[in-house]
Amino acid sequence: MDQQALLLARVAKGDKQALAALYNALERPVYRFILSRLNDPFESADVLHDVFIDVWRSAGAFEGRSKVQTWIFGIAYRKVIDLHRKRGRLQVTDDIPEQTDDGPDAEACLIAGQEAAHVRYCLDTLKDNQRIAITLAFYEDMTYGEIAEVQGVPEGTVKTRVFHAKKLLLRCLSSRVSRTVPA
Amino acid sequence: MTRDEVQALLPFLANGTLEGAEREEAEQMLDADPDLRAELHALQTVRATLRAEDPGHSPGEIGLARLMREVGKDGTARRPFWQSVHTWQSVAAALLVALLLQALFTGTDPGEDGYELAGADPEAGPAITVAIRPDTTEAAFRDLLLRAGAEIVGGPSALGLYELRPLNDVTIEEARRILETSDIVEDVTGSGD
Repeated sequence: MDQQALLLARVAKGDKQALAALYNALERPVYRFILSRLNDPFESADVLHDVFIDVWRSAGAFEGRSKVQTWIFGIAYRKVIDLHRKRGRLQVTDDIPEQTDDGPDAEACLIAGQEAAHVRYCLDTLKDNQRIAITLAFYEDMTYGEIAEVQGVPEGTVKTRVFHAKKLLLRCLSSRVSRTVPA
Repeated sequence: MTRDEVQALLPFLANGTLEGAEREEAEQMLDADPDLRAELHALQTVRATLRAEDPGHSPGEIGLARLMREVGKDGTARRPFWQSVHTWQSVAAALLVALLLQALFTGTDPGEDGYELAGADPEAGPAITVAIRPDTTEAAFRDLLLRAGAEIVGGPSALGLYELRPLNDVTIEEARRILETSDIVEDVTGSGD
């Protein structure tokens, strides 16, 4: 059993120190993930708080079939989705808009990919599920299996989401550079 | 593996989590396809840019203090059985008030036949006093009582001691033997000790 699983087992028995240790280990990545979805530091702090309250209350329900980090990201994911649902901001479909299949300019992608503002802008153009899959892959270095667990979908669905997300992301980055470089 | 399948796996090559046969196949296709290599390079750059971004200040210690405050007053949290004694005491107090009110309105003396407070019956036979480990869950304690064939007739006292009595078809020795060998029992004393 890894360190985080041991901590969670102690949390399930009501050990607050173990909860604090787990919080210290995962607070930043979980907060970063939530913030990347909400773009509001105060709201994100509230959701982070709710996530760890859920960890405290339901630690006993953890079955050990996944990593603790994946389980906690799953809680955060569902909270973000619920919040978006309440506000009617959720795009839940995996529909892919029809687009011409002109491949992105690799060099333009590379240039734009170095600019955080461009990357952030292009990530925001993706659908929620696509953006979350890419975010978890690039921010948290999760495997597609882990992302499938967080999102509660089959691995094939994650691969499809990532495939389209990557395509749209690179196309967007390519166009960002084309627009900013004078002809 | 098709080119589309390899493209779907590129982000996982970029983050280094792709392993085994999938990785080998993807790398073979990359070797033969400069466009795929350029895409991978772009994705690695995007990943590096994202990871270099400062997410700002996370709640940190302030968030932890808030969490601990809430956990401290959280009545719905999973807690050891021992810590829920206050709840039991509240229920017991409410039951006592209900009995007294009933006695008042019906004019019945709680000491008459028909009222029996197990813990207040000195003639019901010898009792066993047990000290239970503080981290014991209610389920574990219930399981022990069932195995020992005993019921709670008193407690918890201020010291956290429970008074138990064997059920009709169980002798006090039998119950005590099972209680003494239990991991959750710290101490057992009988009324004759």
